[in-house]
Amino acid sequence: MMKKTRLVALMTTVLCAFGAMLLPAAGTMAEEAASAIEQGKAIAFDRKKGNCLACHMIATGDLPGNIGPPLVAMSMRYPDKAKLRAQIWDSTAANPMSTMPPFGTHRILSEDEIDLVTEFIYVQ
Amino acid sequence: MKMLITILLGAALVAGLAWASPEDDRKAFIEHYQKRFPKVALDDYVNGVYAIDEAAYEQWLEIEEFAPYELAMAEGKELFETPFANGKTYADCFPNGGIGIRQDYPYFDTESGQVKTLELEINECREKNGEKPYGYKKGPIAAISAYMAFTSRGNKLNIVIPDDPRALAAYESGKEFYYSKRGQLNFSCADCHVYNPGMMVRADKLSPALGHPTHFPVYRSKWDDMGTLHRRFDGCNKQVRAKPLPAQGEDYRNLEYFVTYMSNGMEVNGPGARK
Amino acid sequence: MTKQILIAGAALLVALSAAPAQAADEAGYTASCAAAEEARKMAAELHYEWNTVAPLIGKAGAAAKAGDFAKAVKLCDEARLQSEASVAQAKKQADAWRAAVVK
Repeated sequence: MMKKTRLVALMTTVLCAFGAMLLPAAGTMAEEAASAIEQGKAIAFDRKKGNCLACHMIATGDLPGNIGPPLVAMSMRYPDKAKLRAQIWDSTAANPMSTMPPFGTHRILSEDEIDLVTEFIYVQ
Repeated sequence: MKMLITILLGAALVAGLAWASPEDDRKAFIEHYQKRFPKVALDDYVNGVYAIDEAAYEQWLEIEEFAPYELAMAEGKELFETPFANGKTYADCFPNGGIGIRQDYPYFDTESGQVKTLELEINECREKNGEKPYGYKKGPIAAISAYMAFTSRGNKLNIVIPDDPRALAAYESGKEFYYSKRGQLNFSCADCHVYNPGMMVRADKLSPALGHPTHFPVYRSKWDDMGTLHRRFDGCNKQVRAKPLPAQGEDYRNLEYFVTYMSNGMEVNGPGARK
Repeated sequence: MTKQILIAGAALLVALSAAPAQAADEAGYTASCAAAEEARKMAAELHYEWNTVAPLIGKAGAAAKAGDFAKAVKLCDEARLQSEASVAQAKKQADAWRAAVVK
């Protein structure tokens, strides 16, 4: 996992370096991705928004709960990012007994906020 | 309505559907916890979360030494013993003069066709004697209830579901409430207290449902105050972002009936101190 | 049994009353908040109201008073959608709870 993340980071850097020469927009795109992750993190950690830490361990979060599984190796557990998003949107669709709040169907978060949280959780 | 329920229940029995009697439910409930916490003795569940949290248990024992509910209990005793304007007292309204009866509440009153709780009858007693009813969540009613619970310590919960389809319907309605997800956050009572006791929500450990009703009313540090069981229901509902239902309304009384039945046979040890 | 009928009725009403987008003026605000209040009442009748809804309607009223009808419409639309989601929740749980019972 760590290796993979590093590799991705390295590739991103390399691509950005190339991109900077060939395509001026690439640098901005990487910045946007990083910013989406940061924004997603803020929503995920906000007690009045995602409050993911109430139930999940997340690497950089304090005082996590443990009702849900630790959020690690997410891109391996959810190779398809859309599936991860669907789980955040409404986990009871896949499992009616799930205790995870349906952030989308119950309008706890907006579409945009769920996109951002998905970006953040995906890189955990 | 009554006949319909009888027919439906009958049909369920005949069809061999998963119809469970309250006693089946209670046994399954106990087994569930014993499987989950094989080292915890059944009698210890009256201690709530402290039965499954060794670290907090010692600390809690210290709190109980100088119990924060003592004051309310003394106040409750005085209120209980002070005659109403008409000269009558609470003792006139309850069996055994109101002493040592907590374990029999809530009960199904076949006359009114409703579940009666201790707090409901405290207020009924007041109104019958020309006094204004108290609020149901805190204050004097919690104090009186605390005193009445104290006089019942050690008595075993003895919740009866009489052979009356309305009583069974009340129990079933409480059961449905207990297992139904509610609020924007979509949690049922059972999601936390049946399926996740011992797990952490942030830094708080979830308590087991078994034994929950034995120690109410409670002095809760978070409230810095005494509160009744229905005050706690109210708080739980708010936490999952549901609009709380009225304290001592039909929903919460039926819920109390179900929840208390699940702890039948356990000792009353209220009032309690909780975080 | 009556509860089942109530749920079915509420769900039907919600489906029928799917409100069109309202203009950001006083008439739009009145229509949007009336629809929100209607939906809130349905949820309340089922004892499934969320405690997030009344504050939204309250804020909408304050926004309208301040002349910000666009904001008021947005808040009431949100209140309506949340109430509809809670009615859907009630409908779902009317059956789903049985699967959760300890056996």
